[in-house]
Amino acid sequence: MKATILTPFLACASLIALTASAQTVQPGPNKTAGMTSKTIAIVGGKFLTITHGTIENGTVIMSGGKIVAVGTAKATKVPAGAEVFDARGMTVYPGLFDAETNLGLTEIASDQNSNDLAETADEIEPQMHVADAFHAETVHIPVDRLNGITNAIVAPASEDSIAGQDSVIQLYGRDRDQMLMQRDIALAMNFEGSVRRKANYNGPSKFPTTRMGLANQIRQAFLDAQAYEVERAAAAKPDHKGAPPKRDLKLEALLPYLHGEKPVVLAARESYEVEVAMGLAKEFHLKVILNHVTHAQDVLDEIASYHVPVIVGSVYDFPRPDERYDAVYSLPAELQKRGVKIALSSDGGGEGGGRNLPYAAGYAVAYGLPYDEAMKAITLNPAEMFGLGDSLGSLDVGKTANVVVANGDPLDVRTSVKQVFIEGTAVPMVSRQTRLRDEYMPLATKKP
Amino acid sequence: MASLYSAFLRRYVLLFAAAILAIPLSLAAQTPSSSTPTDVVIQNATVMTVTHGTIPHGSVWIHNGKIAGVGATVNAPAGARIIDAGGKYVTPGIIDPHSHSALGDDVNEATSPVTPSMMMIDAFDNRDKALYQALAGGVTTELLLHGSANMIGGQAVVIKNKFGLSRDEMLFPNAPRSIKFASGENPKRVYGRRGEVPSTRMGNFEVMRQAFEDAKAYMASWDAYNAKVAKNDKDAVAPKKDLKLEALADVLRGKLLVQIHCYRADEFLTEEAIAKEYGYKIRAFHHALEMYKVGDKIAPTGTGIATFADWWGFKDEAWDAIPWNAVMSMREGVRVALKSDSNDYVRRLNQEAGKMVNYGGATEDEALRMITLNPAWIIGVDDRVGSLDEGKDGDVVIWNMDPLSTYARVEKVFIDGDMFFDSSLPGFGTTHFNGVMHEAGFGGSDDEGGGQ
Repeated sequence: MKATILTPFLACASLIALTASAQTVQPGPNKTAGMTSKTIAIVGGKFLTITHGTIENGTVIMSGGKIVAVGTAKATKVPAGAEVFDARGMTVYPGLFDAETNLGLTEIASDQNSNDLAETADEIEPQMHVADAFHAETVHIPVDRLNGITNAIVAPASEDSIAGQDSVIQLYGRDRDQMLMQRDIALAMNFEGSVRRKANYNGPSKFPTTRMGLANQIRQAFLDAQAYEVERAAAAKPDHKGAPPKRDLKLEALLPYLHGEKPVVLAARESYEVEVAMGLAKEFHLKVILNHVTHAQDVLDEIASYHVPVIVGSVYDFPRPDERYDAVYSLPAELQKRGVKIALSSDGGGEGGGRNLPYAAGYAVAYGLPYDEAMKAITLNPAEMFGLGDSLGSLDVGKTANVVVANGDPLDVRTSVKQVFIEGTAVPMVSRQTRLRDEYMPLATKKP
Repeated sequence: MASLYSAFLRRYVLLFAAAILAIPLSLAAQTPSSSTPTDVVIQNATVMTVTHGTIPHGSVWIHNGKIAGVGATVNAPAGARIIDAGGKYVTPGIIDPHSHSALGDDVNEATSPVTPSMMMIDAFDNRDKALYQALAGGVTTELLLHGSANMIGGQAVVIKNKFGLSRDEMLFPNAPRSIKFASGENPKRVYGRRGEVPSTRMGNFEVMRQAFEDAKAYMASWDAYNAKVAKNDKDAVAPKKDLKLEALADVLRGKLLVQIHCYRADEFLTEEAIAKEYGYKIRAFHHALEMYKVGDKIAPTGTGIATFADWWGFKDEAWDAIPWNAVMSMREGVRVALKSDSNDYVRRLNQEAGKMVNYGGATEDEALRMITLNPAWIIGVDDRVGSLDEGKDGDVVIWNMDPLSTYARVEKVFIDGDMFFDSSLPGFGTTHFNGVMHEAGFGGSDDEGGGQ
């Protein structure tokens, strides 16, 4: 028994020579000595490519931050001088992509000073950019990263009807500039009863206190933005007389979304909320990624007919008292079966944190989602939804070398991630938590 | 109107009568209301006994609600109901030693930091949907605890998750009494923001000491009275019965299992010191996220822990939480259980146990023990449930595969030999439930909410 605890903790140092060398570079959550330009070959093991099946006994070559070769070990030549990572007996897969997190916006949930989750003075806040609050050095990122999450959407908390603009990050890098891959990649919208928060039945209320009010307010915001654009275009004409309109950052922020240039992530849980929200989206020709839909079991065919991707869940959302216990667990499968492109997210993370994302996917498999589709839902699908399918989400030549090596099935809670590569660099497998563990470990090992 | 009135009668008047007469419903609790087959045999399964290893192609025989045989073969009589579980896994029922399910919003009587006479059974709602969802996750026994707003909260209720039966039929017969204590941020915050004591950990523990001093004085007054009575002193005047002080006296008399919510290493040591000072034992620290720091010092006290698998960082006192806590503490010799403290996680405690294989290399037996036998010990019912052993209650779960896998689903749940859940049934999959479930109450987590 004493021996078993040691194995995972020593990060298989004896097994994987590379790990040791990688960790001497610069241990620490984010600090790197600069991304490596070394060529690394991951050899052996089972490779889940996502796009072209599983390769038993495969090889992936990474160089210059990209994947430069993928294939069977037999057919893929390891270049001279490449470092070899021995992945025999392991499972190798692309870094996981979490489609909704609050990473870098909160440290300790109960400590308001550490929270930058959402502005709540108004329901319409498209001019808020999470990139402006993103705390790259958060302790949470290395913790999630150690379980194989390499990319994530950072979104404001679901507090407002239009809560702000999301960013996409990679979970490793020198600082925010390197970790923020693209700011303002999507608009975070919510049409949920929980946003209806200004009602005060014991005193003065403020508009909006109902879903009618919320819908009205959203519609007015987009109409104002359209009017603003017309006004601005008119002022840009050479024959225009008078002062140009005052620059309005709030309305300006909505324009790329009105043009359909970028997606809105539109959250709704109840079926009627989904329908009203989609009605608004159609009215303004928004490019939609639906989010949550956890109590929309009665309109699944309708959701499929929208032909929009869906971030489903959380699968742990509770069924209603009149629903079977697995009504939400089976939702990813039910949507996928109808041809909907689905992603899963850790949705704020909960108390265990975003590191549990792969287990949510595994649970969806338990309730009917095909395994390959579950893997896609936390890799390629979210990457594609946010326009990053060319660079992330699968083991394919030319993609960013975000690769994870684990000692088993990535979706199983019993599996340990052994090494994470981001942009072809072996990330130190260290977090504040592993340091605490190692600091106190002698206590645990000294007894028989 | 008539039906409402009869429902009222059923629910309150009869219960009240039962409590006064102390007969009818306690008998009912021992004889299940449905017809339970006398003998059930689950055969051809991978049987995870928890106490004596895993039996491939094994059988479990339940006779009159108790486990009568476990092994490669069992001597069940002809005519027993045979359930073929080929390719499936069988475990004892999952036990959650820290739940706030089915208590509505009545989790904290947060009007005084010392409320030991609050009885959680008075808030128990047996139709809360959280119980059903937990049953579908294989949970057969739960300790329903007061929250952590108070230093000394109320007395817990132990239930068997016989969802669909009456409130009294769901009580775990003759389970030991537990009481909930708490220290740290929650009582600090609740009372501190009102400008009351405690607003610090100093205040936390001072409130406790004063409560026990009061209890000692109360006990002394009764001792003096009883001594006078023993000497036939006609002038002896009985002290006033005080529910609060009686409950605290029962702590000092060792009649209550003390379950303490606290997170930090220093608090475990302070709590143990106070327990020693006043002469009571602590059954378990709940949450206990820093036990890995002082496990070697707590192990000799015999106090167990009921901890989270991987929760962390949601508050200051959870900042040093690490997911290796459970296994590291176990290696130190501390008895470790995992718990939900949540209507969510209670549905998949098997996965939380599975994580222990990853975080620390627990064996499957060790991991499974954390959600069966060890929580049973914390509740004080490990002689009755928590493993597949002859003589124990017939609380058995059939899984479609190894329960520590993410992919495992519960197929059937037996409690006292009676089947309460079968996922192959249409609708809810319940066998005893009719009617309407109630929306879940507060449920957790970190027990700081409800009722404040």
